[in-house]
Order: sequence, then structure tokens, then C-alpha cells
Amino acid sequence: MRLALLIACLLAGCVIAAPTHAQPAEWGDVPRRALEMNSYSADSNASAVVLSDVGTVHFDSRARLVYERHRRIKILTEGGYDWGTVELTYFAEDRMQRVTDIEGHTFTLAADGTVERHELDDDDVFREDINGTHERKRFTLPALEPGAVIEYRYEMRAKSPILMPEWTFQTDEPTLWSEYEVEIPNRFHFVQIVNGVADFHQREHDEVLGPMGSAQKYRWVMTDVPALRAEPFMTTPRDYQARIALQLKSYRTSRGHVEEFMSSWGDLAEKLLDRSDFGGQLDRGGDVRTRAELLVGDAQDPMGKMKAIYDYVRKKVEWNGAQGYIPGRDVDDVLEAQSGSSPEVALLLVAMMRNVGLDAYPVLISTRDHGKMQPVYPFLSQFNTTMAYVETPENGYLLDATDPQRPYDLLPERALNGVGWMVTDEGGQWLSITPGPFRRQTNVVGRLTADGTIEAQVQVSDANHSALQRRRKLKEQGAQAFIRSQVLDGLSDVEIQMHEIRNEAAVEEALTSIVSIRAAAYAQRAGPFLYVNPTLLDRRQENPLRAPTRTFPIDFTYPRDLSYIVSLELPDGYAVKDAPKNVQVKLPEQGGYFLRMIEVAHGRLTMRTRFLIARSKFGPEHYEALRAFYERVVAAQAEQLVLKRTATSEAAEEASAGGTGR
Amino acid sequence: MTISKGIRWAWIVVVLQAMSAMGTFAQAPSALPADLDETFAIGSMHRPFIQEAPAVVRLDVRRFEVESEREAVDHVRRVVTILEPEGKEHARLVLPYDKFQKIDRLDGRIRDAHGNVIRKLDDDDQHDVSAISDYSLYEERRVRVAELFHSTYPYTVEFEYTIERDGLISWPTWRAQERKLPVEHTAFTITAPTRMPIRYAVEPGEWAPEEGRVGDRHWAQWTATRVAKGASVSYGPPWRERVTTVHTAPTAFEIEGASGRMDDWAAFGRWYHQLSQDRAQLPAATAREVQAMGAAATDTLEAVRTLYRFMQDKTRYVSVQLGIGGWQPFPASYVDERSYGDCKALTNYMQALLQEAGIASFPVLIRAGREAPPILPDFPSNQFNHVILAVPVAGDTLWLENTDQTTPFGHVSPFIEDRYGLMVRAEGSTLVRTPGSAASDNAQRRRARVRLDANGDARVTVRTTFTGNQQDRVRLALAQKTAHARKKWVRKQIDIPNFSLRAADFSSADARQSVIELPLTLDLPRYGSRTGRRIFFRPNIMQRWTHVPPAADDGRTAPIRFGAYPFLDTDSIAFTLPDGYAVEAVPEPVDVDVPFARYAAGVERRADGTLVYRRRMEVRDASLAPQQYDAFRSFLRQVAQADRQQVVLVEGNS
Repeated sequence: MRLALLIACLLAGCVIAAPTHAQPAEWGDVPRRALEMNSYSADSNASAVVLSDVGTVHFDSRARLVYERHRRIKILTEGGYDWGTVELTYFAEDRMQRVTDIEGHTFTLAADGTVERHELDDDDVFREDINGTHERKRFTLPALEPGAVIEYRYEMRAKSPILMPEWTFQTDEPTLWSEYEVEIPNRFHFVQIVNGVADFHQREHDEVLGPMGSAQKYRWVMTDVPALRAEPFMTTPRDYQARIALQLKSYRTSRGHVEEFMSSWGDLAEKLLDRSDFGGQLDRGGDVRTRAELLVGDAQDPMGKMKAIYDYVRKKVEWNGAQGYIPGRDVDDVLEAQSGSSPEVALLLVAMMRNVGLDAYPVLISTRDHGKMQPVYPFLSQFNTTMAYVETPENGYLLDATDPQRPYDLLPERALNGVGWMVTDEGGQWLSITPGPFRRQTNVVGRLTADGTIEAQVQVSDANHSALQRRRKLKEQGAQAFIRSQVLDGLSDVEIQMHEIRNEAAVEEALTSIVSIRAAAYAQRAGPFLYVNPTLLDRRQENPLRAPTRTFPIDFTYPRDLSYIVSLELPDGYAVKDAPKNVQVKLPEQGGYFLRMIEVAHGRLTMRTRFLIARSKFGPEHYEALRAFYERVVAAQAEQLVLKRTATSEAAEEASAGGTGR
Repeated sequence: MTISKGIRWAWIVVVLQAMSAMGTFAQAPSALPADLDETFAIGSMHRPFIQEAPAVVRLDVRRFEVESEREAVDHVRRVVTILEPEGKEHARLVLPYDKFQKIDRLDGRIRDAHGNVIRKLDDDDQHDVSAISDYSLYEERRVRVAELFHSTYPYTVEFEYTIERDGLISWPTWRAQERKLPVEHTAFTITAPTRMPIRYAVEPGEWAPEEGRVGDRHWAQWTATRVAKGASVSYGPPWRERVTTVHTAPTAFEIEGASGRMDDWAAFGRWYHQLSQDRAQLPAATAREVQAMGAAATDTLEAVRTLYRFMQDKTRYVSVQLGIGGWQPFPASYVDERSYGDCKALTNYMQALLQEAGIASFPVLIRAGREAPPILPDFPSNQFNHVILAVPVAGDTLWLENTDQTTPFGHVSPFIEDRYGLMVRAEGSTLVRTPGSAASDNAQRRRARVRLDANGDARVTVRTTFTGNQQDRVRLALAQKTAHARKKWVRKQIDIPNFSLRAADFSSADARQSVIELPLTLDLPRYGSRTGRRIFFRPNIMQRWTHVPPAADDGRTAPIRFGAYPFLDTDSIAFTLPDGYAVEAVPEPVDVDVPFARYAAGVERRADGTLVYRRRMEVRDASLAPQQYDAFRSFLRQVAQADRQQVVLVEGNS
């Protein structure tokens, strides 16, 4: 970790701290120098520092999992007070999990230099029943002040080894010492999944004798772990976070027989298909069949059938916002209630499609904010949502009907996370997910008058993800406000003379907005000059890539393709004095380009631009090129056309004004 | 009572025939219309409503039956027709409950378009979840959510529920329209034993109820039919404030053994006073410390300042609401030990500190919020959500906000300024008014130097001072924030997004002074945009006004809200231009003076070749009458236009 920290610091241009000689905390024993510390030189943004975080897991003689955690945090500023409020959520049904023995205290340094200790009162620990199955314990530590050191510990007991906690070494504040120790009886076999930079300060493995006989003891320590904070065009910081997950692979029963808990994707597929609440839903008939047959009618072609069912579910069944990969209700109940979680909606799709003879399967995925999937580890817990897949003779389609505004050929942004796992009788199959583009075409045709006013007809056509986003806005804001804030964004003072929106409901078509505008004083008039920026709409004002460097990939979610054409009739009596030049900037490896062509002829300005980012994902080695690319685009779109009144018209104007001239 | 003039009456109030006085009814008259179609078939719906909204409220009747000072029963029957999927959310009912209000009964059913009952609400349609507010560590609140969704549109959902209240401090506040949906018929009936007066107030506008008496109970009833869809207006008060609202309140009440009266403000104040009595005892060590601080102070003002700072340094805001604890402050010793509390506990603690130093002070109950509607001063009742502390010092009053660690001593923020509050005393509690502010109090003064080079890049040194509510705005954004958050804020202030912050001193934001002074040095790459031989730049570097309000469709009827307070911004920016460039164009000078505001901007060319841009924007009155809308719009339009003017430089001779 040292090296990584050093690199991070050099890149951020800050001074590296002397090694902290971090060590695990001992309960109640806070060294004076921890209290006297008033800044953390390796990260000037830190408002708190995790001094020590130690978790241990063992199994008691009745095979219950016992997890103890002890955390010590230095509060540097008031901004770090949030660390003083702790929420512990657990699965409380059948007392599967319990959190007990919460203790905490705050250490402060009094004015006379003595160390004061403030205990957390048991009465100040609150238990909240969240929803009948989950509970939460909440507390806040007393006597917080900048400089304070807080410390708390608790015990979590679980009846099942599958509730093994995941350990995160890294948070959004720096961590000096993070340690996880796990003692696993030989009865259980867990696999270890390490994420992020696996730079362990210590890593040990021993065979020991525990309450359930011999056991494997593992210990992992990381020190001086830098903070991990979100940046633009990033899936989730979790994808890059240093953490370790333990997944139960197999266990030995009391009779000595080894049961595979999870062994392979094939096994998982089989088990899912055997479950009545998953596989059992896929071929349910009854109302589901009746409804599906009714929708399909006489249609024979698979495409037509698929669309009819997809469109019905998209429009009629409301997604209640809940994720998960296993439905909570039968598909017929979901159909009746017209509302459901993502797996409920997905399995309803699959069941309806199978009932009319389509080849349909459920597909599990992990959304972007939930983190990337690891196909090498056969564990369902990495998924958090379910979609549907349909195979027609010509093609295969991944479907997600949770949004009434989204056509069948477009997936939600959250689902654009690389791959999905299709649950089939043949052991499951990985599908790669190719995101559709974000596409916008803007046309402006109009005229500029000598007083700086532009009168124009604007036509904007949004397709795929751009259409999806804009339809959402349109529904939220209503047509008037939508035209103003979205279509005409960038024009601050504009009169709308006519507007029309096409294909609002036809979600498979491009959303087309047509507006007649009059923008008074759009161009600036000064003496004989008229200055006008031909990029009226969608002008990129800033470079989104602010950080000078980047160590992880740039994930744009989808390719972007924006084209813009403007054709302006210039005022009589003016000549072009200066015009922006043609521009061509390319990204490496056919990653995209920005192109601009300008032409002035017969008193008319025509400008065409195209902004294309052809891929959704770029490696960090392309960061510099991308940043420079955006830089050029911003500069180019700020350029202006300079018009000057011709001598003859100037003379005429002066004469008519009886003028004294300028 | 504040009456906003010019409110368009969005509905026709139809008052039912008064029922014959005594005997015929065992209770207040039915609130249902005589010709009500109890099946709620679509055919019986008011036709024009079908086009107006995705859902229509067919019937919404509420009957609040007061049993005693402590108990009441709240019955509601609500019927909504869902016309299309967009209206689906209106088929969901969310019922909060806690220790003082329990859901006794909840029934629901779905009817098809013809009015046939096709399904009843069952357990699968309901869930029960915790509902702790996001600002609280703990509360006892929960909500029951019931959903009646159906696959064929249109359909009608009917909910009927009863809530039993035990522990009453408030009686209902009711509107003929709770959401913006059109309403066919709605009614609110309140009944009480005759020994308990029914007090009510209506605003804005007037709306007299039917009233009557049956045996030992009396009642008041408001009914309305065919209330048209509600709409929001830009730069106006929120929709809920424009809808006529009926407030009701008890005269005598009891909650968790604490009984009180609301005959007048003095009585309500007495109740709060008794509840918070004997909670001022400080631990001996703190008491000694306070006495020492008091003794060291030269005068009372100094002592209050020292103790306020002590309280701010020691505490933070943490809200825990348990039972009567929603009204009763935690004792001073609790706050002293934990160094936290909510507004009641922290105000009580501050009062205890002052008391220990021999200084009298009084809690002031207030309705806090930047744009909170004013309370009804002639209607003594629980209209408050916050408490501050008033300290009379040397013929003046200090107003102390105790829940924020960064508020300057005595600063009256937009959260609490210019409104009535109830000053609580043992006897003689009265309404008092917190001070308001004028434009010149809320000032932002900016002085900057900009050095522009031939690439269009600029180096800017700028010093800005903020006073009054602008100090408040900046302090809330910057005080005790990370360097990252501060840089983000600076980015939002500047029109040039890709800047680098070379030097900045944010310490003044943390200093709890009434004036914040912010020096910054910035590099603005590409501040000026180059095209060929020219450089274009906007001399207004920061806070350009860009938004122009839309034209009013058919005459403005709602008052105008132009931000939360009056303000004055002045900028003076001196530009040093790159060598070899001449000025081709500068913005024309602008001066717009209207009764409520003034804007002036212009560029001066100095003999030494520098340019000085000056801008002054003063908003004298932040709330305007509806008739001023066109003037208001035209003013902002001119401001936006002037703010986007640019300076043009040209290489060599133009």
C-alpha cells in the first residue's frame, strides 16, 4: 500500500507524510499523540481518519458465526462528525442475526491537557424496526469536537455461515490500519474474493484448534490505505475499493458428508430453476397465459409477439423501485397487482413469452452502482437484479420492462455493466451487454437580423439513451418547461413562437422537438460590428474531466454521437470579417472525433459539427487524450463569427439618421 | 391573519342546506351530497375533469370527532378514480402513526369503471415501515402504506380509515385539495363536546362553515364541490400556500399527562414554560466554569457572547424525539454530558448557562424556514416547529439560534427573520417579532483584478465581502466544509468552469463574524475565447443572471417571490489587457431603475489602457404584488441581457 499511497500523493501534488507506524488499537487505550494530531498530511481533504479498524470472525461450539468489530476514528473537523453516528442494519427475521454488546466512547483533550473519556450511554442506543424483517441499531457518540478520537465496538451473531460479513479496507476517508481475522472450522469451506489493490501489509494463514475442532485461521492487514472518492464517468467506487469477501463453498454435515453449498454456475442454474419462486414461475399458465395469448392474438412472428408482450408489461406493470434477483410473489399476482420488483417484472415477461412459444430466459445482472460481476466466482450474491432474454430466429434481445418510457431495444443505464448471466437448463450462459448510443441531431435554420436577433426553426431529434432521458424530463416538466430547459438549454432569453413534440408516446421512434424561436439580442451589436456564436444549442461549456490524471478506466456508460447543423441567413449590408476555422480532432484507436465545417456563401452561414465518442469505455492510458479532446471541443464551440457593416450600408444608415457618425 | 390578495378562487364553494337544528341527527349532518353515486361509476363523474388530470378525487370526507382534551377519533373516506397509469400513485395511501396516533381500522376496495367492487384491500397490499426523519437520530414514527393497483383503466379506489388520537396538542389543518388533482366533492367536519369550543381560522380568503349543535355536542363543517385542478406558478408561493386552508385548534388539550390551554398566547406559553421548568440544573463543574466566564466579562453583552460561543463550541445538533419529548426539552445536564441536543434541548441549555451567570432569557417558539408561510397571529395554537432564545440586553433584544455551530453571535438568519414568535415566560407570554433586513444589510461587495493574456487565459485576484443574509448563504456553504466542497462552491460562483484555485483563504467563513471576507486567486484558462485575431470575454466574471421568467399566460394572480430576502450586489473588476490588442467593442452602459429594484452596469476605459467593469444590482423588495409581474419580468430580462454582454479585443488595429 505504501507505494500506491506514494503514487497517489505525487499525483495529487501533495507532500507525503512520514510513515504513520500504524498499529491496531487496543480498547480504551488512546495514545496521546492520536489526540494531539490535528491534520493528516497525506490527504488535506480528510475530515476524519480511520485510525484502526479490526474485525474478527469465529464460530462458536454451536456453529454460530460470531463477528466482533472494533473501530477507532480520529475526527479532524466538524465535517467528520458523521463518523460519530453509527447505523448497524441486520436481518432480524427468526433472529437470524443479532447485534449486541455495543460499547462506545469519545476521548477529548481538555484545556489543561488531561484526557477526558465520555461513555456512550446504553439508553442512547436505539433499535429501529425497519420493515418487519430488517432492524437497525443507531447511536451517536457523545462529546464530539474537532480533535476527538471516537471508538466503538459491537458483536454480531448470525445463525448461518452464509451471513459472513464482507470486509472493506478502504472508505472515503484514509485508513491507517485495517485488519480482518477469520477463523473457519474445517467443517466449512469458504472461497476468498479479493477486490481492488491487494497490497497487504500482512497476510497470514494458520491451522488452529477452535471450539468446533481444527480450523483455518486467516489474517489480512492493510495499512495507510488512501481514501477512495467518486469521480465522473465511474461505475461505482466499490469496483475499485480494497475489500475481501468470503463465500461459503461447501460444508461437512454432522455425519461427515460434504455438501456443496455452491459449486458451479451449472449447479446454481439448476438450483434456481428448481426453486418454486424462480424456475417454478417461468412456465406458469393460468391468467398469465390467457393475458399473453390475448396480447399476441393471431401474430405468428416471434418479433411481433415479443414486442406485444414487452409493450404491455412496460406500460401496464409499474416497477416499484425494488431490486433483487428473486421475486417475492408469483407472476400471476404480479400481473394482477400491476406492480412489482425488478425480478417480478422480469419473470412475468419470461413467463408470458414462454406461454406463447417464445424462447425466453431470465438473466441476472449486477447494476453499475452495485459493482462489477466476477464470472470466475459462482455466487449469486453478486447479482442484484433480473432481466429477461428472448431468442428469435434472427437475433437475441435482452429486455427490461421497468420503465414505461423505454423501448424494447434499450436497457436502463444502471444495467449497462458489461455482462449478464442467463439462467438456462444447460448450465447458464454469460451474455455480453452492448450499450446503445446516446444520439442527438440538431438542426437550426433561420436568419440573423442587423439588431442581433435570431429567428429560427429548431428541430432536435433524440434517439436511444438521449430520447430516454429526454422523455423522462418531458414527462416530469411538461412540454413548455421541457422545451425551455432541455431543447433550448443555453439560450437564456428566447421567445417560443410555436412548438411541437413528435413521438412522445412512440418510444421506439426518435423523440423530435420542433420549435420556432425568436432570440432578441442573441448576437452582440457594437458599432459597425455584430458578433455571433453559431453554436446556439448544446454548447459544451466545460471539460468534464477535471482531474489532471486518472488511474482507473473512464466509463461513459454508452457511446455518444451528437451532430449539429446550423444554417443562418446573414443580415443585408454586413460582410464576414472573421469566421471560426474548420476543426478536426480525433481520439486514438478510432475512439471518436470532433469535426466542424463552416461555410459562408450567398449571405448564408452553414456550420456542421459532429461530436462522436465511439466507445463507452476507455482505459486510463487514454485519459490524457480524452481530456485534451474535450478541451478542444469547449474552445471550438466558444468561437464567434464577426460581421461588419459594409461601407455602403454604413453611409446609407448615417445619411438616413442625418447622422454625425461614430 | 395574512390575506394574500388576488387569489383566484379555484372552486365554487357549495354549502349544503343547513340541517334542521335539533334532534333529527344523533350527530353532525352527513357531509355527503344528496345525489352521490355510491358506486362511483365513471358515468357519474364530472365530465370536464376527465381531460384535466390522470386521476380525479371523487370524494374526500374527513370527520374529526373530539372526545376530550386528550382524545379524538379521525375518520377519513377517500375515493379516487385512476384514469391512466400516470395517476397510479394516487392509488397509494400513506398513513403515519406513532405513540399518539394509532390506526384503528383501514379498509379499501377497488371498483371497475361501472362501479362494481372487484377486489378488497388485504394484507398483501400493505406494508409497515419505519419513518424516522432524515434529520433525526431516533423517532417513534412509522408509516403504513396501502396500495390498490389494478390492470384495467379507469378504476376507482376507495380507502376508509379511522385513526385514534390519544394525546392531542393540535387539531387538523385541512384543505379542500391536498394534492393538485381535481376534486368532485370534499368535506371536513369537526365535532366536539359543547364544553370544548371549536376554534378555527381560514386563510387566505374567507370561508364560513356550517355550524350546529346536537345534544351535548356541537360541530362545524366545510364542504366544496368541483374543485378544479391546481397548478404551480413560477416565482410564486408554493401551491399549498395559495389554496384556502382551514386551521382548527383546541382551547384545552392534554398530551402524556401534560395539560394546557390555548385561549390566548399567554396560556400556550405557560404550558410550554411548565413543561421545560426545572430542567436548567447544570453539573457543578460547568456551573463553576460559567460563573468564572460571567465574572470575567466586562458587561452583560460580553458575558452573553462568551457563553454563546462556549455553547457553540461544545455542542452539535442531534435530534431524538420520544413521546412527550417532541415538546419537552431534555434537561441541561443531558446536553452537558453528551454535548448534543435538538433545538429545544440546546435552547434550554443556553438559557441555563445564562441563568447561571445571572442573565435572564426567554425561549421563543417560531416557525422556522427560509420561505415558511407566516403564522396566524390571531389564532393561538401550535403553529411552530423551532425554538430560539431571546436575551434582553441594554434596551435591545439578542436573538440566539442555538442549533448551529457557525452562526455569528446574534445573527438573525433568513431561517427565523422577520416573523412572529411566541416569547415564553411563566406569565405573560406574548407574540414578538424578529427583526427583518433591508437590501443594504444583505450585501455582497466584490473587488477584482483580472490580467488577461493573448491566449485568452486570465489570472484573477478577487476579494469579496458578504454581510447579513448573504453572509449566511456563504457561511452555510463554506463553514466547516472540506477543501473539496469549498472548491466546488467556488466553481459554482464562476462562469468559467475550468479554473484552478491558486490561493484562497476560507478562514473567515469559520470565524463566526458578521462579515465574511473571501480572498481568492484563480487561474482561468480560456477565460477569453479566441477566434482569429479577436478575443471575446464577458466582464461579469461571477454570478451572471441568466434566467428570464416566462410570460404570464392570462394575467398573473399569484404574488411574486423574488428570493427570500432583499439584497445588494456590487462588483468592480479592473482588467489589464494583453499587449498589442485594442478594444473593439465594450457593452453599452445600462441603468434600469424600477420601484422594487435597480440594476446598473458599464465599462469604463481608463487612460492607462485598463478597463473597469462596474455592476450594481439591488433588489429592494423580495415579495411583489401580482400586478408587478410584467415589470418584474422585464427587469430580469434586461439584467440577463446586460449580464451576457462581452468585451471584444482585436490584435493590432481594428
